Amino acid sequence: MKFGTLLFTLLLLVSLGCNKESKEESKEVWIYTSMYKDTIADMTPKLEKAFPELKFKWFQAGSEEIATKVNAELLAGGTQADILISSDRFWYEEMGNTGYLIKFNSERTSKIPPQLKHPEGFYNAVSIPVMVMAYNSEAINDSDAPKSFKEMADTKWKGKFTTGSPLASGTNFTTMAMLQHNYGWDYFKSLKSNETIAQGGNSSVLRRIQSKERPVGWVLLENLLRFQDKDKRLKTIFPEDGVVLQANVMGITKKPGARENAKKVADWFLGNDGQAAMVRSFMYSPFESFEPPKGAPPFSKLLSNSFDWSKEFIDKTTKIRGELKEKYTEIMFQ
Amino acid sequence: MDFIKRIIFSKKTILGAGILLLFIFCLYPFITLLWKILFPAGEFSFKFFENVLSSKSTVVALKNTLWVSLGTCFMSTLIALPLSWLLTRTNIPMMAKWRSWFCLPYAIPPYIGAIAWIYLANPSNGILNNFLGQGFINVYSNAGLIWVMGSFFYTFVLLSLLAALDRMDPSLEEAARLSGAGPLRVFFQITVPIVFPSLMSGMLLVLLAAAASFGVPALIGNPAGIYLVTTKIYTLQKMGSMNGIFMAGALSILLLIIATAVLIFNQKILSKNSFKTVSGKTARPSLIDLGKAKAPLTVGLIILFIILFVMPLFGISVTALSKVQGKFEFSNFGFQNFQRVFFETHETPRALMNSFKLGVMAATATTLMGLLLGYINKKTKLKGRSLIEILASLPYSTPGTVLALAFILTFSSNFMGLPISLYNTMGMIVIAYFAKYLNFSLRTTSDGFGQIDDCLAEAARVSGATWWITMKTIWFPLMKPALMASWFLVFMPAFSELTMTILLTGPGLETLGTLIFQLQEYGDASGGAAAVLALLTVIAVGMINYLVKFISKGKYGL
Repeated sequence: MKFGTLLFTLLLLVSLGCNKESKEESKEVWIYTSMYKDTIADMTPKLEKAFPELKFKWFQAGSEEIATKVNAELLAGGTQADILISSDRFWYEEMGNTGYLIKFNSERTSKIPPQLKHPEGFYNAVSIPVMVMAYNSEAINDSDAPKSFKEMADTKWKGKFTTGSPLASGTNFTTMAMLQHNYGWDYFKSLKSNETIAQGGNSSVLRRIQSKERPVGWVLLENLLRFQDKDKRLKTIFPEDGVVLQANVMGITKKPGARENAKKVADWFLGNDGQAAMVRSFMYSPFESFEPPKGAPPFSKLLSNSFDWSKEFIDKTTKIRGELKEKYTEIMFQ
Repeated sequence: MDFIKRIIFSKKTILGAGILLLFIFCLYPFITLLWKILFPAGEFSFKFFENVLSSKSTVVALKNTLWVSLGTCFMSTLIALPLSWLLTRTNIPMMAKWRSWFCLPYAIPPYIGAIAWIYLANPSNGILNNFLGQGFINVYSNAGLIWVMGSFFYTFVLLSLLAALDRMDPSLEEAARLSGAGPLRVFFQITVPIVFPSLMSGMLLVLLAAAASFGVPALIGNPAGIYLVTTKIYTLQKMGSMNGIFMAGALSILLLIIATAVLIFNQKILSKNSFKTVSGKTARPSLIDLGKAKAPLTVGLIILFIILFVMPLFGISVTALSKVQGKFEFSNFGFQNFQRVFFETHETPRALMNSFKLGVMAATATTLMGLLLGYINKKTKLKGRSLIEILASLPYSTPGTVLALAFILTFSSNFMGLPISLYNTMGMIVIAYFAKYLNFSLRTTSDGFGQIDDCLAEAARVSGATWWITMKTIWFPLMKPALMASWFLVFMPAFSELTMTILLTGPGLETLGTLIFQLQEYGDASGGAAAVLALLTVIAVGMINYLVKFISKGKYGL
């Protein structure tokens, strides 16, 4: 009866695999986020200490993976996520508009600058990543280094430039949308004829700069700050045409019943412990009272030379998000 | 009790259960997906198909996919066909070792190969180009894409051919040789026609795998400007809107229709040429003495192996050992990345364990199912049995992201009206693997059944054995090599699967594949940890393989 035993074991294994760990639904808080692993590892013990009665479940992936997962869950009848924290702000605009998020306003959110939150409270920024540029000083002399995003369209940089893919990473999508808004599609056509590699998230951009496959790239400041002591060849450029400020935003999903637990936890991310963890992960806090991350310039200096987040830009980008990605694909990948 | 037992183990119950499961896991998710696409807001609408079909880039993508898949298929055959001859019919030294080594790339996920080849042959500063002159080899090209895919997918053809050549009765070849035919003539006029169904089946797998694969096309195709159907599906899915998801689904269904057409065409051809050449007794083929050609052929074999396997492995190893990427100094090499992965990343042991569990469950379930379906396919006269192969191929020829989507839609809640939710459980990942890899298993078992003549089972039946006893005492032992092969063919890719897992995984369900991806794309500061894990995957798979080989005294394993 070996066959039967085998079958039985198999069924048992599968059923064990399917058993959910806990049934107490209201005490579980599911957080889907694109924050880095070490940031999550840093925060979890503090969160658990602050809310001993709650159980935290993390799902970590890129912003666009999270959007795909949540969209699929919604199609199947409802999302499991309670709190969403990721960097594609325009997706939150859409989620809010279509009624999948609840409004969240507290004393802490009132201190966030208006351009970093939804006017009605569908989302709030929990941290501010900054898109800058970087080069490998082993491949490019400091005096020759590029000075602006715009310059990268010049044929001088053929075969030298790399970015992340707006299809994989929320911060790369925001940067693409911002530059498209300001420089038009011709800018990207030039990037394409310059053989720019646009692939993956920010970590993979940095790897291409380090390996000198493409010695210049646009990349998040936090990725560079993580390397400030380890790889002295990497040099940061604060582009003259402006840095692209991002917003890592947080939203609370709409679910039947009370959402008090989710709101309590959301407010924690905006409090001292949550914000200190963001700064330790080399992101700026949206609250003025926090110091800049280690090795980074003061926020006011970056703000004074950054691309403008107008209401018009946000509304337009939210509306044509899909078309922007499609057009971009057509130019860069075909 | 006896009565119940008789019902449970009756031919009808078991085969019926097999077919039911096939429908639930291989067809029903697509019906659900199609339903959602055609009735997006409760009303019938064809707009998503229209949108996809009217787009110019769809045509470009289809055309490119066709050429790249055919190219990959051609290259795979070009490598595998001569290799299979050399490794089964000649006195090449260390034949058994070479066989095992050349099959190993099967166990490595192709995206790891893509990362390695970008490192070796990117036009700006690939290691090879540093020696051969800048831009000498450009991995970002059609040829590069086909090369990288072919350098993994050739194993599909090779495994299929090796199995067929081993099982084949060599007396026909000997007869030809005795009648004065040279070794090449024997190979092409006797051997190849006999193993033709296996060859076609391997080539078809390559064709479908190439058309549905995403990892390599993304890493190499995007910079090269090669726009494929999977790239387009990915773009649509990543538009972040529901419309995008529906359009991605619509395009996948188009891809499925094309794949199904290819499969039906293939079946029509194959039904005309099938041979039963195994009769229960095996005979060893006499090996051809290569004579003077032995030395050059051996050297050729070594070079091919270095190019296919050693060089990419070298690329990954250098990355794994570099403290900081891109510095060629002795002081830059060390084991920091290893330390971080093994001692400072708390997910690593859990991911290893999860991958192992998932691999075992998927491989076992798939192989049992393969045994049943292979039997129905080859040994019964059941009406519509030719559909089995097509049904099992559907999930295989669907890009992983879409398959995951269809599974989420189907099994998250209210499956067929039942309050079952598999979402965020290991069960969901297992059934997704099961559906995706059933094709491997079915092909192996069908090949196995196809080559065993009915006379043995008939003898059992004449002696009074029931169906279940015949299954247990005749088919099961005879099929054992095919079943073991099938188990490995599923275990290895399941062990490191990425594309589906990334969308199906939940808290605590990390696998090696998702961990590699996260470290590669998002979470890894120094960029070497993903390479360490990739290396670990290769080593783990290699070790499991050799362990099994050792225990079974070389009978099983790659």
